[in-house]
Amino acid sequence: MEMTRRSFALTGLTALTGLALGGTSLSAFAAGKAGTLRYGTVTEVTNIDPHIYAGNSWKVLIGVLYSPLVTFDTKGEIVPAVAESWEQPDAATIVFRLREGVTFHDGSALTADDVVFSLERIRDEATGATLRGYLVDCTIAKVDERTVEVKKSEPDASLLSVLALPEAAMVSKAWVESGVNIKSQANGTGPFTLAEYESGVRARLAANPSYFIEGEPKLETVDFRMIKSDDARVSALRSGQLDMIDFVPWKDIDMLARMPNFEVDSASGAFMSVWFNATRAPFDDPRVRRAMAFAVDREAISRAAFFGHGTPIFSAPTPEDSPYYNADLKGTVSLDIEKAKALLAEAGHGEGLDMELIVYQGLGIYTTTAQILQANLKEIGVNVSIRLVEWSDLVSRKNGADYDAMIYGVSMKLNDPDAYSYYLGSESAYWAKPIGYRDETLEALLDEGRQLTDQGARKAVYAKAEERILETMPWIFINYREQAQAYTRKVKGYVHLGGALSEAAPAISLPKIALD
Amino acid sequence: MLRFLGHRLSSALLTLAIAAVAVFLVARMIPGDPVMIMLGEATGGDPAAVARMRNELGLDRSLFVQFSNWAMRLLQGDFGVSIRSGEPVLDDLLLRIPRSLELIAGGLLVAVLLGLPLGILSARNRGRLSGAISSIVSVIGFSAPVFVSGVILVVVFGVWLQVLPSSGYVPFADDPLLHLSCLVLPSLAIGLNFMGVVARVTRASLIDTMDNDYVALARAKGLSRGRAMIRHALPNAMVPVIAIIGIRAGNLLGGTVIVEALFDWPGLSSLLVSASFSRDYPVIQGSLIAIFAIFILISLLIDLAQSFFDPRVRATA
Repeated sequence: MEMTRRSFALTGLTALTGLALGGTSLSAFAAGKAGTLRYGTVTEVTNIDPHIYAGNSWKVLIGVLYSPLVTFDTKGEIVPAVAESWEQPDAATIVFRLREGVTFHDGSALTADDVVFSLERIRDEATGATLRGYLVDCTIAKVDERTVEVKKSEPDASLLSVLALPEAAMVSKAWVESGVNIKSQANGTGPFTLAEYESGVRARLAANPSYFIEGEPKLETVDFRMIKSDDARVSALRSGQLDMIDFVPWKDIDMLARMPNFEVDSASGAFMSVWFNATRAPFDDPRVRRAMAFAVDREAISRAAFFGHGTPIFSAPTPEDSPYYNADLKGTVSLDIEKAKALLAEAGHGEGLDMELIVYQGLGIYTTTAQILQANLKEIGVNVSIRLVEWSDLVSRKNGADYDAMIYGVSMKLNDPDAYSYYLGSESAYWAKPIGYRDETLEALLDEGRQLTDQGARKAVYAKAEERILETMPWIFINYREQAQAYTRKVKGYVHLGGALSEAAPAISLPKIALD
Repeated sequence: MLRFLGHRLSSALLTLAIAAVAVFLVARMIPGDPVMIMLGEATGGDPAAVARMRNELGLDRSLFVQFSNWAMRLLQGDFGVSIRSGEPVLDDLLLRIPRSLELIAGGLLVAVLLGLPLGILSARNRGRLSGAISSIVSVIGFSAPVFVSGVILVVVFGVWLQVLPSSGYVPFADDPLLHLSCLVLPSLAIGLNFMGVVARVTRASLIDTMDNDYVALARAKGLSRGRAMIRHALPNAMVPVIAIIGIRAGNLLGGTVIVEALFDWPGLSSLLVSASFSRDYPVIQGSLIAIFAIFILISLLIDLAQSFFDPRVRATA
């Protein structure tokens, strides 16, 4: 109470002398303490369990607090982390050799038991871990104090990439079992420790003095501010209260890029798509889904909804810089009203049909995309009514199969074409996988691709898989949206990454960032 | 006075009890399920995992059992545990309530410290240019909605002039000066509207009071118009002003919803908003109870202040 009364009085003082006071304190804001990066991030992180994905800001936090066995570097290559080396005796097995002297933030040493415990925790149904589906048919064994073997029942070319994701974080067995609240405390082996944390508001990260990579991190402190409002995040950067923001709103990318004191990096990140409910007629008919795919004006959506910062997808969502990109498929699905009408007529809906499109209300990119889709589909006689919903409503409708179609942006999950089994496979644990869709041909192709190790052979298989996906069209692929990061020019060493590493890019760069 | 206080306190407690029931029911009536929201994305709503978590959280029990468990613990001062973070709700509330009170206090201060002089000025200089200007300022103040004045304040002071932080929160203990400068713009945003109201009511009430015989008597004794106004008319003119402050102070609490979002101020309202989006029932319930309690407390204080200025209030209670 005393405190409140005092701040009450001080408030009055400030209101009266606001300008003078503000003037002095702003210089403190603008100058920034040496070695502190002030980072504005979009998601309000309220649960920092390192095994349960909770938005892209979560990925950044977990990525620097914890370490997986292996990790991605700024070129997207898999490099050692907690494991110093690994070998693959066969296509289903990886044997990890642990680095010596890795310690958790609480000072205890990381052991092979901790590694086994961490991976078992992901596999445990009770955890609800994001990567459970990938690791559920693994056996994890401690070979000796510094060696752990991860073995799948079938060959899996994507296993190493999965284990390099931040979601495959190593936790301390003793710490977790001591009954701490892992949703709001952290004890990892990453480059930063969690010095202060207020759920959904802010986090202060301090450099981990005993981080296992020499010379990292370069920053002393990272101040995370979770600012959900796009406008507030941008004005905080522009007014000098922040050094870096993520998820730059598309409308502001060009504006910030034109300003001399800011750097804006952008790269294709998530891709936008329309999801159908294939348990409901007529969306169970591939011809209906394909018809709509040919009616979408992808250029218009990229221009209007993303202010030019979107790239139309005229085939399937494998990025052009991926070794698995198949140029032959490009243009397979493009704007062709006649073809769309013909397909719809063939499916027996020549007179048109009505449908409801579920759209997340929180972002302009979704509502504008929905409006363009509505106009596009009108041309082939499909009357779309748009229903704006909040996020939780969208998730429960999706899981309860209570929708005709919805649009959503899917962030790329894996740096490997096996991502398709995660997105579209009927066994996938992915919440967004198409409901009521199971295509035996595609399942067989995806199984085959996962079990091959030769890149050339895999490429041929995934080309066929993509062809099949476009024939059956469980999702309509619209475009890649650019994800942009903006920062002041005194921030050095940030490397922006696209595709599957888009969300993890800040976490990969943070230990290497320095301030001028 | 004691009887008056006792009467008011018991009705406040009754209101709070009714509020608790309403709060519980309202939280459950929002469509959506916290477990699906948490596990929906991570596990695709796997029925076994969902059932397990519902059981852990006690959400599989009947509404009546859930309510009585919650109410019993609430009576012991236990607000439960957040579904999202697993931390006690009370910890969150104790962190957030002072921040929202700061905003309300800042807004009140802006309203009173700017509104009263503005109202007196426009009453005193009625018919003159300065009076007209103060009237115009107060009209602009109360006709601009918070989300308009707030955005203008951010753009002008935060982005163009860069004299005040455009948004954000710094704990008082970390940097007191920075903490207070972060508070200036949101206080102005939340208080400007109210300032207009205070100025208008002060002006009208003063002009009204000036027509009274005792003011005429004071003038006849040779007091200047200004002195008669401040010494004799103003104290009596304050009664409706305090009443309006009392009625509208609760509105400031409502204003914090927009202001906290606009200025990224982590108070009680933003906690309620984010908890609502994820259906974190214990947090929704806890913050609503806290908001009710603050609202009731404010009206209690205003009643006391009013009874202090105007003994008739005590008599009618």
